[in-house]
Amino acid sequence: MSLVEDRYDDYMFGLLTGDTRYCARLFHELLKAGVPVQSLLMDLMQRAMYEVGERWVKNEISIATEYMASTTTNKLLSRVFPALHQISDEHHSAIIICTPHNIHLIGPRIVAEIIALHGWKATSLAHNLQSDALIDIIRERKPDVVGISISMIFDRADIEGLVAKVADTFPDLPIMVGGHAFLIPEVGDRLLETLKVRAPNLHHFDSIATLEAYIDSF
Amino acid sequence: MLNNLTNPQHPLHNPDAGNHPLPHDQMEIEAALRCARRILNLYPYFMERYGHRGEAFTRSDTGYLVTLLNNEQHCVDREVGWLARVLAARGMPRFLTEIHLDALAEELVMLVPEQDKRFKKLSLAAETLREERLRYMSQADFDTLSADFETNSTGTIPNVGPILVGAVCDEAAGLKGVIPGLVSWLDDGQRFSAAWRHALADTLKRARVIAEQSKGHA
Repeated sequence: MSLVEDRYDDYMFGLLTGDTRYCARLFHELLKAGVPVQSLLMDLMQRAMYEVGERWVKNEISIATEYMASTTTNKLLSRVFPALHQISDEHHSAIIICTPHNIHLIGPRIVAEIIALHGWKATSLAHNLQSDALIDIIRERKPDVVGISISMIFDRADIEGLVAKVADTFPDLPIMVGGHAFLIPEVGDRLLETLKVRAPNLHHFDSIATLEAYIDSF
Repeated sequence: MLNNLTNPQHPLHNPDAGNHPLPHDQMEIEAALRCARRILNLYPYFMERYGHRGEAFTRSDTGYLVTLLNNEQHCVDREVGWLARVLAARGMPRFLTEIHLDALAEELVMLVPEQDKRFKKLSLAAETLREERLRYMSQADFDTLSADFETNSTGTIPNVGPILVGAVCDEAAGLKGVIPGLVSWLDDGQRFSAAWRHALADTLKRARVIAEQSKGHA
């Protein structure tokens, strides 16, 4: 059993009791033991949040507990990980958002953290960012890449609109897309095809390894 | 697409339902409202157990189901399957979602007959749920057990029989917690008579025997 696997239940306990300090201490212990940050983000944080969602579906935990777990995760993302970013001149930058109205922000935040680990300045923006506001901030910040996450399939029209607007306004700007909706059999592939027609400079990532390779290629 | 959180004036809006899309077509909204009223009248269990919160969720869930029509059939089935599982774990077996979908399709066709092919997606999603239910019990057995409960329980709340038998089918299909979620309220001695509770125990026992036999033959 790996170190992360070994401590998964402890982390879940901390998450469900809203104990940020306990979870942070656990992260630091694992980092000290040599566990890669990516593994903490994916094998602990992402996996735990998927399980939290499934346990809510089964009514094993309340919506309040689910929110507490999300809040704890967000706090950990704010407190633990920024200290681990490589010191660099941050000459590359990325803006990561999710579709408007979507409140599933943890995924985009994890992606931003992973990009930041590569010495980039990566910013994940709050939800409900409409396309005009996104265009404004791209114009202002001039990122090297924009990432858009889609969780729920009913947000398809939103991501299509965002991608089209960004591609029309900044044809040379690479757009990264990802998220849970792309995992839906057939639907995900069809959505990707539609988006690629609208934005030829579009890249889809379904794993951290491919995302990191892409970031390192800049 | 109108957004639930940002449009509190929407007739299907429910502030407790989180952030999900709602229909914007007036006829579809009207059909959803009619369907919600119909379901609440057909199954007084909703109002008896969940009160105004149940009424609000019946409306908003109906609105959400209408928005699924913008997706392909397998996507509708997937989302319906998810919602049905969420509700089943909270005391509303999947049989109720099945009936809800049939009623919604009927109301939509009644108001907008020219789009009957589009609305058929909901009937097909209901059919998928029905097929799974019938794997564990024939419709004849389902109806007999439901009717017996109505007779033997002296009917404090009408139409609870099919809800109980539907819960047994869900249990046979591997959904955990459906029956405990139901009997925690329906078997309350403070609320229901001894005859009701006896009929409830008897119905569950008989239904479980049939469902187990069907599983053996599967």
